[in-house]
Amino acid sequence: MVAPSFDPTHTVRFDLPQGSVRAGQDGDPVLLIPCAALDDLVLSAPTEAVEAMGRALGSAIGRRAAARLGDPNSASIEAFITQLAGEGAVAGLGVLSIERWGRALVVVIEKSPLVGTLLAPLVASAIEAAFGRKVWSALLSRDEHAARVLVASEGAVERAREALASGMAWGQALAMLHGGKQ
Amino acid sequence: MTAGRTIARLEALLARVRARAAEPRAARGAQPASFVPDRPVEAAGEEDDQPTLPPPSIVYSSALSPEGRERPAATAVAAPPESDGAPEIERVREEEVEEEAPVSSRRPVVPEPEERLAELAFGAEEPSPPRHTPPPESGRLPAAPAAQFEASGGTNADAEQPAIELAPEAIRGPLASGAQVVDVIGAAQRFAPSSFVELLDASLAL
Repeated sequence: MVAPSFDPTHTVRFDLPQGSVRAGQDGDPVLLIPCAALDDLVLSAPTEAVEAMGRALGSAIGRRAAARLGDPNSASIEAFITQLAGEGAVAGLGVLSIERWGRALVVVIEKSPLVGTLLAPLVASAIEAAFGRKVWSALLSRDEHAARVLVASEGAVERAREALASGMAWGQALAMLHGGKQ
Repeated sequence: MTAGRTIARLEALLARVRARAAEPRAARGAQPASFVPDRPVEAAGEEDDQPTLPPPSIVYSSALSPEGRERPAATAVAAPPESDGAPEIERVREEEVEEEAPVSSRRPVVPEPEERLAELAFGAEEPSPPRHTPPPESGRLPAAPAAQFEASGGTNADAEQPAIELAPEAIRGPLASGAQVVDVIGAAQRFAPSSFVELLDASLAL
């Protein structure tokens, strides 16, 4: 089996005469902004606006990752995460990886400059854009090193949020979601 | 006194004793008998106005010892008559009654009866120290002869012996390297998705 790889060639194009930056094969225009400015915006904006922004960022990344795979539905876990992590690295999101806790899918983002409230909708939107399916996400944990985002059904995400709000550890919340199933 | 005279006197005494032993007891009780005072005779201060009587011929054993200490009531009996037949009172020995020595007494303290019986039966194990020993004399005590001290903590005799070199002695338990330590409880995850979509479906099914 050929190890999956990410080809970053011409992923980002800087058109200096036009004063623009473009990303991906479709040449989507992107903007380089300081992270501090984005943080100020997230802190002052309402929750819905922050979630909309995160979903917008994730949608672009997921769509470009799916374009690299050709048929995302047949892609292995390693192949998909390789392309998704590549596109996320080009966008400066950090290091993306996947953890499987039983049947639960958890996306891990390390060294990300984004706050957790942006990362949770970003991950869900990226998967939705790649596979054309509605998914839900919840921020399990966030520290200075990594953030963990659960991708699951609406009900599971709601139960996980309630468990975390009650003080339950995120590992126990994941175990609670399984309810005896493995 | 010659030996013959002594023998004669002893034989006379023996004869009197035998004669008195043969007499009935009632007859002997009629004699001027012994008198045992309940308490010592008080001083004659209260009887100063009474006429002085001649001392009786009965010898009382005084309730006061020559040293002035009290003694229990003694018994005085009539002494055997002299050769002239006059009634005489014979002083008999006081019945010795063992008593506890007073605290201030200088008499030696005898051991307890049980201890004495044990000593008679089994013999004394070791000589018991004197009960009353003189108090220690005041003043400086003579110092004990100082033993020579060396840095090694021993005497000169010890230092002459060759030094013993100490070495650690390691003691380890017999642990087999091939022991099966790991004991896995439970089964490995049976869910092994082959594609990302399969994993996504499983997570959405939670």
